[in-house]
Amino acid sequence: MKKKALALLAAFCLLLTGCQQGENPQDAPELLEPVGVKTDRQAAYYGEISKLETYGAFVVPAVEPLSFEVSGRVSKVNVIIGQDVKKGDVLVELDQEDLEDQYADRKSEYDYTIRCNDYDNRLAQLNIDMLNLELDQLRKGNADGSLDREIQLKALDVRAAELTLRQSKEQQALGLSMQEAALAELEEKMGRNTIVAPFDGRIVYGTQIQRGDNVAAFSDLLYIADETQLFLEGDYIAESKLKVADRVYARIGKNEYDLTLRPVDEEEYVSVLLSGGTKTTRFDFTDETGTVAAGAYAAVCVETHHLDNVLLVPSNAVFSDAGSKYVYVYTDDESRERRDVATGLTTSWLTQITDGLEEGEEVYVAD
Amino acid sequence: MLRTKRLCALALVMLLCFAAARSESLISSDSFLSEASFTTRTLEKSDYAKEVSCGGGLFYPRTVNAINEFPNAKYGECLVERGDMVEKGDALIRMEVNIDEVALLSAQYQLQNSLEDYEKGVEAREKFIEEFRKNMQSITDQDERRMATLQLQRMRLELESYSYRQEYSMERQQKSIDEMIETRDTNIIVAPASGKVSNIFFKREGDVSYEGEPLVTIEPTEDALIYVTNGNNAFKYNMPVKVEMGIAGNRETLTGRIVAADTVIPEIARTGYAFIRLDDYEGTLESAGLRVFANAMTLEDVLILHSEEQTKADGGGYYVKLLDDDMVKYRYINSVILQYPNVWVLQGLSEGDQIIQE
Repeated sequence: MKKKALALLAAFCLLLTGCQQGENPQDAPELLEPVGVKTDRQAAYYGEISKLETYGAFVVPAVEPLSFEVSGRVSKVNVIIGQDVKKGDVLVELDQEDLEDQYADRKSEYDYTIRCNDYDNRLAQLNIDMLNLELDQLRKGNADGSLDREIQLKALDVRAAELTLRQSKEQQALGLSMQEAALAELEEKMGRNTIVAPFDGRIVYGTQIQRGDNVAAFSDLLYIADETQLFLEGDYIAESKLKVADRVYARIGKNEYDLTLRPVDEEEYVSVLLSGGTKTTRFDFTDETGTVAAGAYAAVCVETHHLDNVLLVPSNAVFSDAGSKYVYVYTDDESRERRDVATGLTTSWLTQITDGLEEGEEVYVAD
Repeated sequence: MLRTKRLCALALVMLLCFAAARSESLISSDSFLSEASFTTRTLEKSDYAKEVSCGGGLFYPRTVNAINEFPNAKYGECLVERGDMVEKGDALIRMEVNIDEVALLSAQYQLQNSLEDYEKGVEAREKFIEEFRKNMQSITDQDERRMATLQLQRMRLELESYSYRQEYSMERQQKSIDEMIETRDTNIIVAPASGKVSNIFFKREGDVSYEGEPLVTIEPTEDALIYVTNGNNAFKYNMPVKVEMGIAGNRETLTGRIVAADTVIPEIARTGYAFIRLDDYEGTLESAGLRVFANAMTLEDVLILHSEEQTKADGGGYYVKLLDDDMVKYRYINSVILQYPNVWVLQGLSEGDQIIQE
């Protein structure tokens, strides 16, 4: 009995201690708002939505390959890669010493032929004059007609000599024309023994050619860039995608530039495919500021499905159930009600609402 | 007794309830969190650059070969050593040029004979013409005189023609002889440009050398460029670059630009190199420790996230956590993963958004 009384007394004392602690309100911590009590919500709003993809590209200059029209041996290389050149600068020369020697020989032969022809013709004419003189002499002495036969023969000799001279002249003319043609051909070859810069630019690449190297006609030796003509070249983008795009533009630095697709060079395209090369896409653009330089990086942006002034909510506010879409709309008393909606364009961050929701209505956004 | 126990138990229970009602807290306040356990940052537009680098080397674009210019020649003697500095025109190689001495002597003899025959022929013709002219003085008949005049003209014309033809023939013979002599006497190959002898093609004395064969490589040190391998096409034409060169402890940092790169030419013609020219550098280029840096990708004024600030969703796509109106909001974004740890935000976020960083 006493033990029980003691136990009850101890319990009573403990209880009194607890009560006294509760009587000091100044030590009680401030009650915090528990996390998650507020739910993420977003008001439906009118805005724009689109799908945007980016591709890498670079600003490159127009480049033209340079080659000789004839084969030959290089005699002089007047340019190095990376060098700026002016229109008309002679860049590479073929050894035309052989050609020059050939030309000189043929020219000398031509002049010799002309001179010899002249001598021959003058001699032939002298012979004709002498025959004519003999004919005159015979005619003078033919008062009695006894020299008729000799006169006829002499006249025939004169005629034959004249015809021979005429024939000789025609043959000479033919021979000279053939020599002239050969000279003209050599002259033309000599005129094609240089590679000349077709415009102001920079030699951006070339094969390692040196004096003494043999080069083939139409084999690209140098490449010259025209930095006044720039375009973009970068990752391949299917033409079908570009055709349906609402806008294609490039970010170069801080600026945006609208792009137009460059027509594909079919021959080059086939060459790339056959060689297993990398397909690229090229665009033209207009740089009104004149600040874009070759070598600059360009982010090509392809914008599709662009819609303006449509009702939008975050995509994680839209739920689906057995084929239908719905949202949770906040009501006046802060409760949420399920509402079926019709959606249009959907991206992973925004969804277009076409029916079932009004602007300003707040929807629950899931985490 | 039993009643007393029940009364005590009831009193004890009542006291417990009273104490609970009076107590304002059953849990120690020390266990409450007084602030959030994440940090945030304000999203601002910034610039991004992806740097690439590659070791480099020196390239001398004016490298030129001295070649054999003689059609029938044998290698004689090399007059320089690798590493020698030479001036344009300096002797490099002595060749043994073979010409047909018999043919030369024969040509010279033939020319001499032609000259003698020509002189005799001219003399004989002139003598004959002079005699005929004298005999003409005695012709009285007008017709005969006219005929004699024509004959005299023809003789003089024939003489002129003969002289012209013979002189032309002898000139060509002399030219052929001169060419043979020039070939025999000019047997030294000279430096086509000034520079350093970087390579001497191996040849032994007496080896046959064909016309046009390269024998010595000269590297003029002027206009030297720096080259990098560019097989992955990272270095684009006209890109600005940074170049470091020199040994450790004595490195120099310079700027330059890519002045030649095969990225602008058809892929089939590419050799996989890009070339750099330094900006206004007057010193001597060193190949030791040469390294080239360039920005392969640059973006300006864009929204950049750290890769840990976006999370990949189970169903696809990426989202970020925003702090807005004192609460965490999950928002999906359209982003492009750049070089780790950078992410470019295309759509879904705006400048000023508070991004929660885990």
